[in-house]
Amino acid sequence: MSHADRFEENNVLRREWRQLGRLALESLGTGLFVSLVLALAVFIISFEARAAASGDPGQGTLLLREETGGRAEAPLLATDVHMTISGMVARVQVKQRFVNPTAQWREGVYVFPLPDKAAVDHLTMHIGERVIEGRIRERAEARRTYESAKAEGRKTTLVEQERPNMFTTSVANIGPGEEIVVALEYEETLRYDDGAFRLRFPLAITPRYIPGAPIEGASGGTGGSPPTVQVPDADRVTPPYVTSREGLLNPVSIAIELNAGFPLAGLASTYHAVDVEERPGHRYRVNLADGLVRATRDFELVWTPDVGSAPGAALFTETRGGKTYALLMALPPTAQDGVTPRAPREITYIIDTSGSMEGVSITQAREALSMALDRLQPGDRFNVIEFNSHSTPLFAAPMPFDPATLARAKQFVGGLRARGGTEMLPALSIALAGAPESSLVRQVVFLTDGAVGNEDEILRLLHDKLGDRRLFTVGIGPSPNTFFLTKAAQFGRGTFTFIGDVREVSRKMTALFRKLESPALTNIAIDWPGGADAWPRLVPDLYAGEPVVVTAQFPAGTVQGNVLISGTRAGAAWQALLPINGGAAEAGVAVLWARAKIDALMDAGRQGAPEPDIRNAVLDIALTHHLVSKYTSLVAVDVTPTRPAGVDAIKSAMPGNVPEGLTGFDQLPRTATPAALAIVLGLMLLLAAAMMTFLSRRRQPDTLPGI
Amino acid sequence: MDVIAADRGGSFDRNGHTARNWMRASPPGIAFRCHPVESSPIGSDAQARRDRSGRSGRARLLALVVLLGVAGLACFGSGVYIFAKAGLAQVLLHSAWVRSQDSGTPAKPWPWADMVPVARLIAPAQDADLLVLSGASGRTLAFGPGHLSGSASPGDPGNSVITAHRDTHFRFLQHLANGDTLIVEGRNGSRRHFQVRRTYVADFQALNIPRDTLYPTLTLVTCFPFDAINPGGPLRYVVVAEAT
Repeated sequence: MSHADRFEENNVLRREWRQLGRLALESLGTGLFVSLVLALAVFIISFEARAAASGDPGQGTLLLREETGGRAEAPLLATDVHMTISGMVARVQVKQRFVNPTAQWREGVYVFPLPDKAAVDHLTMHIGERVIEGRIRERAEARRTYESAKAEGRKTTLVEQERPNMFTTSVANIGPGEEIVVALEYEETLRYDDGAFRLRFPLAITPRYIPGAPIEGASGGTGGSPPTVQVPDADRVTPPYVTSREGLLNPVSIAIELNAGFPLAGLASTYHAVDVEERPGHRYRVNLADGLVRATRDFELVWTPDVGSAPGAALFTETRGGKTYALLMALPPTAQDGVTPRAPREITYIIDTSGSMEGVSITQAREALSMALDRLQPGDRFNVIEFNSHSTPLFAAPMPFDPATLARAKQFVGGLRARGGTEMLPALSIALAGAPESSLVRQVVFLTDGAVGNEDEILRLLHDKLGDRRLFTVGIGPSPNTFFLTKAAQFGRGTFTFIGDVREVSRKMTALFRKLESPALTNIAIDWPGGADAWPRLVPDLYAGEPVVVTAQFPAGTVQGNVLISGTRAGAAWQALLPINGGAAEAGVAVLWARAKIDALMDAGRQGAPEPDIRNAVLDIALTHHLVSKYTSLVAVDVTPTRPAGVDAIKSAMPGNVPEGLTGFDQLPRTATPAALAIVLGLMLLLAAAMMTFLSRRRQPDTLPGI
Repeated sequence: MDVIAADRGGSFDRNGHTARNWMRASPPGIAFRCHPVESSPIGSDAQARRDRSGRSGRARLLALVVLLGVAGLACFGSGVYIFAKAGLAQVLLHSAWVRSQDSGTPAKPWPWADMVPVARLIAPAQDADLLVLSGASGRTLAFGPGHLSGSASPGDPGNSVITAHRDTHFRFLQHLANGDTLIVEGRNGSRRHFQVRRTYVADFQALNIPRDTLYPTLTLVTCFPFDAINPGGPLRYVVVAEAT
């Protein structure tokens, strides 16, 4: 073999090897690209799939966590609210539809809000066509009735009061695919203030903060918090929550029949879109425009009487069980502006910066407080106290108002952030420290959502420490604890202002300032004719635009004579004589009287009256008037057992919606960076580039012979 | 402003689960070049092979190589940049923390920073020493662990929730075991010791982190698994520690 031959052979061999290598490398490169593109495609697709999965599953596929920690389908809930309003009274039916889409037997426990003055007096359980009436029982007895019916496999419903504005419905033995409708009814007096009637229907519960050390092994409720020394029923008032991504959970429909009785200048829903249909005789029909809404923020309907037809006084009566009951509303004339000059005052602002205020609430609170600071005048003294887990006062003691202190306060307020617990007691203790009496007009303005579980403990402190101060509560957020806020204002001889939207801050705060700055009607006494048992006995002080609302029970017959209302305003005596004869007949006045009496009795308990006495008195009146109270519950039991023996009903705590605009722990950010992905992709691209360079170099001699 | 603006595009909240969101979280412009489809390498490569004659083919090939190289470098760089930013920010935050403790007033870690460190989190056994920033948004998490606003302040009574990226600051969470010590240092220099009570993995939708706890609690949350390439997984790794 010649040299040349060998060379030629070598060359051929080399070329073949080269071609083989190139082919291998090319296929490798192509493979890399394909896999890269595929990986990216899979990655993007998986992303989109997850985005879809985390979106709205829609109604009917609700998943919720169970005690076992797994995810299982649970009963579903829908609520229909029907209100009939006439004069000063609203009769409301709340229908809770429990639907069990699962294949197991179920028990549903649902904690829900109602207006804080609601007198719940009627319960029916609907199973298909059958209707079972609920009975009022002492609370422990009702619980026993429910538990034994549940154990026997009979369908049963129990309605208990946790707080005056928080109730629990328990429904046992809902069969697979079955629906049980629980219909509750309550009676309520409307709020009339500043020339407008207001009806509030709470649709969400802001999660309550539970202070205190835990009581070991005492938990029996379905709530998330164990009972504590300060809140012994914490396990009953901390229901589970879900956030908006879980679809239309607990949809609510609201239908209202309004019989105003006088021409209206305005009728509007404050936070929800509604359709209003006017009918003859000053009657209106109001429906939610969207049909169903998410239960995430309170519903409010406001209507204003036409000028000239605004009520000055009204009397409604009802005769029931041989007794006559009366509901009296009287609006004292407003003091003329300018008659009393504004006296210098000492104002302490307390602002809640706890975790439940995070989101829209803290913005509203900061705006409101900032407006309040602008309202101060030379000669005033003031302080600002912020509280969450700790209380932080701006000044150690109230300081005189001047540009420098105002600037410091503005800076302090501007820097407020919401986080941590709601330790309300220490903050109020700071605000209420010092002498109980003062020569200055002393006012405390308290901005909070009231989301605490130890309401009674705080009310007791207010009662003990207030002295001659007045406490004004400003409810902040989509669904504040109105029971606590109205009660605190009542105990503090002040008034409650509700701000549900940041756009309302200016208007509502201006109305509050007018009340703060005009003298209140105090020492109000009401003399009824002959033998009346009137409640409340102690009428709260009245501010500009607020009416007296009292109820009374008479032995029998029609009410005749005069009601004398007297009081003191700005040091001068004031009185009015109101002739009453008959009054307009109105069903439900008796229940309102009973509810007012229970309310007054419970207040006496909060102020230190011995509990056994209060309990007996409340039991007596609640059982007579068929009312749910702290000591009485409504229970309904089906006659025949339906659940087969040997099968257990699984208990589910029905979750509520997180109030709209509140942000919390569910809003966790993503916690992985695309860094690793970017580096891997980058390296792959670089590798590909390197390979192509290599190939193009090798290709050049290849192509040369062809030229 | 540059560093912050670069990171502002990314919405890290769980509602914004689109691929584009995390892409935008990396420096603008670079992320797009990571996309191999943009430069269409396969098609062009095949084209180049067919077009063997002439310089135009070689030029095209060269352009492609350059393009690929640049894209690769940019992509690689953007990844490294994330790690570098996370590391450098912590160095600057540490010096700011010392300065603010000396002077008693909050010091900014860098002149244009719009965030302040709220606490220092130390895991002695894992050799982690991190400054926690206020607010847990994608923006703050690029620089350090974020304290979830609304939760208790670290070291206070209640539940304090801190989150960070699993591949940067909270990488050490995987090495934490029950009984390990965590130390939280407040702005005033006070220290509080915590002990890890439990660790668990859960789907982010099933996470139920209590708002209020009865003892001062730290809840550290990051993504899981720790070594996944894909940053969008639904699982979270949770460490619960209680004050001792």
